[in-house]
Amino acid sequence: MNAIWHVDDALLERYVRGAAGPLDAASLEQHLTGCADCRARIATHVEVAPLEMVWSRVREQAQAPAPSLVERLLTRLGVSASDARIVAVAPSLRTSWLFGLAVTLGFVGLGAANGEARGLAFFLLVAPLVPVAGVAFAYGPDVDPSYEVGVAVPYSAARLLLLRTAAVLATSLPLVLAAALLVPGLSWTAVTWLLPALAFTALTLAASTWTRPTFAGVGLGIAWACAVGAAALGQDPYAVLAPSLLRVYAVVGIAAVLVLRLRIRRLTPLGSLS
Amino acid sequence: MIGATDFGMQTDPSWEDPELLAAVAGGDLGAMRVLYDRHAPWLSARLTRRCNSPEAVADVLQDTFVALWKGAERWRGDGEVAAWLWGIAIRRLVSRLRGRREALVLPLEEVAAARAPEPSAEERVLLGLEYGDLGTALMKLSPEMRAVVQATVLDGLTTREAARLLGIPANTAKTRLHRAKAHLRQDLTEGLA
Repeated sequence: MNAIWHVDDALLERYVRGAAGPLDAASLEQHLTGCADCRARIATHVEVAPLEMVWSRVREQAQAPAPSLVERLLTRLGVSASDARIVAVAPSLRTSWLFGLAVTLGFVGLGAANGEARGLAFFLLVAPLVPVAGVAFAYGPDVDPSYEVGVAVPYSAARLLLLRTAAVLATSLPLVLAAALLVPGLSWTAVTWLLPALAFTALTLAASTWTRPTFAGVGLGIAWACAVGAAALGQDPYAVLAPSLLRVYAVVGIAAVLVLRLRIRRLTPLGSLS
Repeated sequence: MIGATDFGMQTDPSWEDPELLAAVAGGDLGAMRVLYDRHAPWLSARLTRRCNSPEAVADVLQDTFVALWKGAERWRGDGEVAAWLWGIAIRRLVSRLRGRREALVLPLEEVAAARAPEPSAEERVLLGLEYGDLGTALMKLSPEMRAVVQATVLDGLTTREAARLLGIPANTAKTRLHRAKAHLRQDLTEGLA
């Protein structure tokens, strides 16, 4: 009774085919757990191609860099792994970018705390441009190490840009709002800077259906800087947030969203610009 | 098969599983490939007996080896590496199937009955060496009860995990296991008398 028996090849073949009876299968499975010889022999009955496909996926995952904090956070929140990767590789979401943003805003806040009018102007200059810069650097041939991959895989450019825009807004706006608390001269009505911020973001997106997002972002930045500069020279930085101008921002923002909706498919051939 | 250049460090294919695991814990992909060649075939065959979706089986196999890559140092060094791997794989299968019905788990009998020639008497005798009277007693159980026994006793799942794998409520699995054990006990003690 102590004779060591091994599973015969006919049974191994039937088992792999799914044709072994329940008792045979159960016995075989128990035996396999402890017998390296039979485990090696069953391999000759199992199809190689699917196993090689799985191995290539395993190797890819083993060699891939560990997912970043942002990526893990996003997957935790229910974003699919591929979406998380595509959002997280945007330079504007890199830790360094967020760190730089925080430092800049800190200085803006401090400056505002020291000198009333000038500090205020500085804050108003920077705050609405933060999300614009984020979006401008979220997509496109200038900035994106994954860009080549981005255009090569069947991943809609529009989806990519919108996903990253959402991510940029979600990360940068709370930071700017927090920085605003550091500015004592800023009344709560000043949160109306959010309106030009959103309008400019939409405008950048709409403009990127014609040109690179970076060009659009830089152009908008220069225009906004001139406006704030002019208002500051007139001793009233708040002038850029006057009610009549807010209405203009709203109209511009809505128009930009409409244009974006119409032209969003044009985003795809963006790669030809590079 | 992969070329020798893929082996970062010197991995000897004659190494025992525990040595290979230690090398994998040290980041040796070559050792991982040797382990994969040894264990992926039988794991895939065994998973296929529990889930009829090739995609799900491939995913679970992938998850299992990625888990091995990340957690090779978690092996406590006792028992068979094969048993440890199966423990990972069957739990990955349970969580893969949770809430999804696209991958249907077949009771083993259905797969078998569909295209099985009966095993020869000789094989039965050989296999009887492993199970003896227990085997006959197992065969007398209803397929539902046997599926629970299989998942808990043979696959080493908890009743809750077994229930998830089989797509039945946890209480049902518990009752079936309880009844199955009572049947087996009765059958085996009768056999002794």
